[in-house]
Amino acid sequence: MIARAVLFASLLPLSALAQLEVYVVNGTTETPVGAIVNITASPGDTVTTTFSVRNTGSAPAVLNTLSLAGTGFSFGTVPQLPYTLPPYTGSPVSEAQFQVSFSPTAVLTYNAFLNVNTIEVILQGNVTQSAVLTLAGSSTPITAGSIIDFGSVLAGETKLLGFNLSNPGSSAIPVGALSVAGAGFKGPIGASAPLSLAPGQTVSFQVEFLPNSGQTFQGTLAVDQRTFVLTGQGLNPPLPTASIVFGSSVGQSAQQNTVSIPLASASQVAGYGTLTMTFQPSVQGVEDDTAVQFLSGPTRNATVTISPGDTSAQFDGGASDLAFQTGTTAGTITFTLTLNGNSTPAAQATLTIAPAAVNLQTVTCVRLLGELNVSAIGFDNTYSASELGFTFFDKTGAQVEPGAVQVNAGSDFQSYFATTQAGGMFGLLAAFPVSGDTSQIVSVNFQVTNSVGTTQVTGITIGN
Amino acid sequence: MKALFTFLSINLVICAQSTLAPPKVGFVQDGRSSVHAVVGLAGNFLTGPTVSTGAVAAAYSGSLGLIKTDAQLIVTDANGQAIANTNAPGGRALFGFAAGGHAALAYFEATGALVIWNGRAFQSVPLDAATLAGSMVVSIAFEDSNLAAFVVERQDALWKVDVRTDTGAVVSQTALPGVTAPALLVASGDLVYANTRGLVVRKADGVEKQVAAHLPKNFALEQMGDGWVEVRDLASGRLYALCVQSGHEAYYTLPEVRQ
Repeated sequence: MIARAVLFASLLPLSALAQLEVYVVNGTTETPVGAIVNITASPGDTVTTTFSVRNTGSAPAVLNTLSLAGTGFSFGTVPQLPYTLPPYTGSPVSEAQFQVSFSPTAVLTYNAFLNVNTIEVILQGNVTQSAVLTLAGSSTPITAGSIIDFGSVLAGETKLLGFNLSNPGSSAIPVGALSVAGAGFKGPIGASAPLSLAPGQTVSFQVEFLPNSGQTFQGTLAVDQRTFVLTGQGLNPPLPTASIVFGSSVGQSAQQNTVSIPLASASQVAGYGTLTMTFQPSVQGVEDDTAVQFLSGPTRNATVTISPGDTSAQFDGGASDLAFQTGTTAGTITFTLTLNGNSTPAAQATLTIAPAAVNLQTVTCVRLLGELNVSAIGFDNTYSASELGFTFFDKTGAQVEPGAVQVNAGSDFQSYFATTQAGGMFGLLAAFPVSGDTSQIVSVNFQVTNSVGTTQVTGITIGN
Repeated sequence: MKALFTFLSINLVICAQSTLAPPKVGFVQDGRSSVHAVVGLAGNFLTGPTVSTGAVAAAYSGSLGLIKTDAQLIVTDANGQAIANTNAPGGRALFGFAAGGHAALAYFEATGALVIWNGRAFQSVPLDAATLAGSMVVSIAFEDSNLAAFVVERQDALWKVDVRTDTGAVVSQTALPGVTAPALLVASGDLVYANTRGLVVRKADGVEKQVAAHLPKNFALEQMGDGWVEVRDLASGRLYALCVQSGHEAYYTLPEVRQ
C-alpha cells in the first residue's frame, strides 16, 4: 500500500503540489471558510458575499470548477475559468475572487452547495424578518445596499426624501438603530431608534440632502445592520446674468471711458472670466489702432472675478470698472465677456465710433524771425484728410493777399497715416517763411477737410 | 510732407512748408524710475518704451527735459536725447521751466542748491540757506531770467517766495491760502494743486479752473510737457495726466506702462 502511494505521488504532475484554500472577504479582512458559511438577510434584501481563492502550494494551480447549487443564491462576479492561480504571495493580486449573492424572498432557511474545484462549502442563508424600507409614495421595498439618489440640488438648497419603515409581518419588529451618516445628509427627521414596529405598523421619517458645493455627495442610511447608500449631486448655482455697461454710451474717438459688468443679482457663487476688447476699424486698409486699449493691465484682455455676494464683477485690484480709450480710428469696439471657462460669451457689447470730421484740439500760430508757424494737433478718424486752408489777417482785419491759401495735402496725409503707429492722430506744423513785416499779420484762420466734412478754427491769434 | 506754395500780398511774400508727425505730449517718470515718451492728445495717449532709467526725478517742458539721477543732472532735448549733464548731489530734485520751456531751474533737496540751465550751460544761483530755512520746498518755477519762484510749506501753510537768481535775495513772499501740498508751478505761470473735488488750475491772473479728478491718496505732480502735468500715484506708480491748456483743462488716465 505504501509503495503504491509513493508510486502514485511520483506520477502526479507538478500542479498537483498546489493547494487551494477558500476565504470570505470582509473589507480588507479575509477569513478561511469552514464547512458552512452563514449568511443573514431579510426578505427582499440581496446580500452579496465575496470569496477569494488562494493557491497555498508552491506551484501554479488551475481553478477549473466554480459551481453553486441551491435556491436563493447566485453568482455575481466570477473569474473566467479555467483560471491559473500562482502561488499565493500575500497580495490580493495572486488570488481569484468571486461573489455570491443571497436574495431571500421569505422567512425560511436557505441552503446551497458551493464547489471550488474539489472543495465543497455549504452556504446557509438565515432569514430574519426586518422592517421594510420604502420611499414615501412607493410600495417597492428598498433592498439593503441599494443606492438612494437624491438627484441634483443647488448648493445651499435642500431636498427632503420621505421614507417609510413598515412591518408586514405578524409579530413586532424591533428596530435598534436608525441613522444617517455622511457629509451633506441629515436625518432621520421624524423618527428615532430604538423603536418597535407592531404588525402592520408604518413609521415615516425624512432624510435631508443639503449640499454646500457643486460636488457629488455620498452618505449612508442604516436600519439596524442593513445599510443603504445615499447619494446626491450638489450643483453650483449659476452666476447671475452679467451685462456690459459703459460709463458713457457715446461712441467717439479720443474718449476715455469706463466699462463695468453689473450682475442681475448678488452672486451666490464665485466665478472668473475675461473681458476681451477687439477693434474692427471701418477705415479701408486699416487693421487696428493700438490706442484702443484698456488703460491698465493687458491692453485688450482684462481678468474679472466674481465673489459670493458681488453685485458686479471685479477687475484687477478690486475695481468695479475699468478705464479704456477709444483711439482715433472710426470703427467698432466690441467687448466680449466669457465666464468660468465657457467659450460661449456671457455678454457682449459694442461701441461704434462713427467717422467724423477732423477734430482739432489745439491750433496755434507763432511769429518767428521771418516766419510764421501754424501748429495743429488733432485727429482724423477717417484717415482721409486732404485740403488744408490758411487765411491770414492783418491788423485792420483784412485778409492778407491772396486770401485763403488752399493746400491739397491728401497724399501727404495718406503717406503719414500709412506709416504712423498713432492711429488717426497727427501733429501738423506749417511754416510760412515771410518776406516783409510779419508783425502786420495778427491772426489766421485754419481749416482742414476730410471725407466727412470741413473743420475750421478761426481767429487764431499769432503769438510771439 | 513738404507742400510748397507761394503767394503774394501787398507787402509780403509767404511760402508754406509743413510736416506731419504724431503729436507729442511729453515724457513721464514711472514708478520704477524709468522715463517714457508719451504721444497723443487729450483722451488718447500712447506710452512708449523706456528712454531713460534710474531717474530720481524728471520733468519736461515740451522742448526741454531735466532728469535727476543719483549723481547727475541731465538735460535732454525735445526728443529726450541728452544734450548736457552735470554732477548733482544725491536725493530728489525739483524742476521749474521758463515760459517757452527753453531754460530751467533745478533745486536739490539734499543740499538746498539751485542751478539754472540757461539753454547753453549750467549756472549756480547764490541761494542763501537761510532764505528757505524752516520751509519745505514744494515746487519751483523760473518766472523770468532773473526770478525764481519757490512754493514752500511753513507750518501747514503754503507760501510763494520769489528769489532773484543773480543774488539769491528774496524779492517777495506771498501766502497761498487754500493751497496745500502737493502743488506745482507750471512754466505757463499756472499753479496746480488739489482739493476735495480734484485738481485746481490757478491761472497766473488768479482765475481758478476746477478739474474733476479721482486722485490717488498720495501723489506727486510734475510737468510732463507743454501744457501737461503728470500725476503719479506714489503707491502704485500709476500715471495720470492733467491738461492745463486754457480751455482744455481736464484729467486723464495714461495707459499703464507695460514692460
